Amino acid sequence: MGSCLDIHFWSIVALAALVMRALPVRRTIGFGLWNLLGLAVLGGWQLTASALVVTGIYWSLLRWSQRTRYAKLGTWAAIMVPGLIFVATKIGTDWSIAHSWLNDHPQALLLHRVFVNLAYSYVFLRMIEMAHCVIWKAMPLLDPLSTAGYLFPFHMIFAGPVNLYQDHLKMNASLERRDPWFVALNGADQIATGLIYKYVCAEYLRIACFGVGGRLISASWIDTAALIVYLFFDFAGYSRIMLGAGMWMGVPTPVNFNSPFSATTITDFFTRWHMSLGAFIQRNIFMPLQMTLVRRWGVRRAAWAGVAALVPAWAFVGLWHRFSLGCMVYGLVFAAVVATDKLMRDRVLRQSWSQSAAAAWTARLLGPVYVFVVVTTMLHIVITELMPA
Amino acid sequence: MSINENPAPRRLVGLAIIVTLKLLLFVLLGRTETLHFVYAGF
Amino acid sequence: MTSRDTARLTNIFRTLFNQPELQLRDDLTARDVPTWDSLNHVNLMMYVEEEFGVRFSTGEVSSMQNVGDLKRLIDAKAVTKQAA
Repeated sequence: MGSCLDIHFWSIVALAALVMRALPVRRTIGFGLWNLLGLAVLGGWQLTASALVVTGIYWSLLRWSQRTRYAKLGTWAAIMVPGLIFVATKIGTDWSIAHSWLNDHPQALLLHRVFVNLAYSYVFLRMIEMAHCVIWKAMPLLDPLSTAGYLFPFHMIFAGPVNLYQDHLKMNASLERRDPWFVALNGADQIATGLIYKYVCAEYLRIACFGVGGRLISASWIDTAALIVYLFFDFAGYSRIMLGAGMWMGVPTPVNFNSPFSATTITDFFTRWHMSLGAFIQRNIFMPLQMTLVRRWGVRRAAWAGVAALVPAWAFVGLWHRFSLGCMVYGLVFAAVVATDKLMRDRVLRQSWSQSAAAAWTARLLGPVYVFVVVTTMLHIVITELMPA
Repeated sequence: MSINENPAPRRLVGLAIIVTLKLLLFVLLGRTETLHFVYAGF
Repeated sequence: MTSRDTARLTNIFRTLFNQPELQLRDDLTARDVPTWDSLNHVNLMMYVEEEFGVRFSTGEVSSMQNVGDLKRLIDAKAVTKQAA
């Protein structure tokens, strides 16, 4: 399922685009059914069956949380069970000591492979998003088939993006007729741009800097600078292709990148890079925590509450990418850099000279250079931990 | 413009030309030595 | 929203975002104010909570897009508060 040039993938997307438009029934169920076909054709029956089993278990936990008698237990289980599976899957992937243990326990190894093949890191985020919406925001719980379509969408299963549950619910409400040519062309535009990003920009850069078939190893800051641009075209290309596929099928698929290299502050950069992950953390970790802290400490200490809320949010980002102490520490270093950038910027903006047109132009011109240098330096420090040689 | 709005035919033709040019660029210059994506596996 | 409430809201925006001359328009968004970033967005809502004696949910905080949305939200909360 790793290629965007697979004829089977595009056949299923094109057919889904036709079928979904003609559906008289709820679209989430329609996509849920079609998605099973997509998973089976692209990933095999084992992947489809495991997706269904995981969905069944998770859906039962959410259903449980809605029953008054077992609500607390159900809520606890709906968070803890996916969380523990996430931690176990990450440890199995990222810890060398776990590799040897798994090799000695074939059944555990098989289970680990199932979750890795399901790209469980992304599924876990969707599960938390869904639990937040269903349990705390009292949004309706979709039927199991539709839930499978939300948790394991075949076009987003490979590497996200993290789609919103409330957007998925809207599939059933937004049955208005759109101009099919406009939808088709808009989707095609996203796909064509994504193909150029990945197979022209990213590939030429990769070949120029690392050679044909060369490994992506960074020996210097310049290598890391090339790598971050390559990562952008590679990931943003994939994200745009899947956004286009989602548009064709009428399945809400979030935008994942918004010109990150034009950002003028570090905070701005991270609201433009891997946006669906950033927005997930903003919605589910950072914002609830910041609100709680400001209410507890008072609005006079609001700025410090914001800085304090960055710590667990960035620790999670580090651990989500690689479950190691090193990555968690790097996450905390990122939090410190973001907080410093934010506090410095706020201080500068309080000065009267910063309001001048010249200062605004200077910030607009030099801001992206400053952001690129800082972000590349941050990635250069973390690169050996994140992408071991 | 939102995707829910119906665009003018001229805009559709413009969009179709842009998409064709982009696809042409991809077909002519695209390199497919590396089909997989580097960030997979998280 | 009364003109007095609008003045109170304007005062919050001017103080928090350090823009003494800022004029509140309903279509004013974070893009128009340099210091209105994601960190300050929550702080803005918390200042409003304290000033107007209302309480927002995380969903309401994240879905607020512009000043018009915020005014409508405050009005709706005030009505609910009076009814209670």
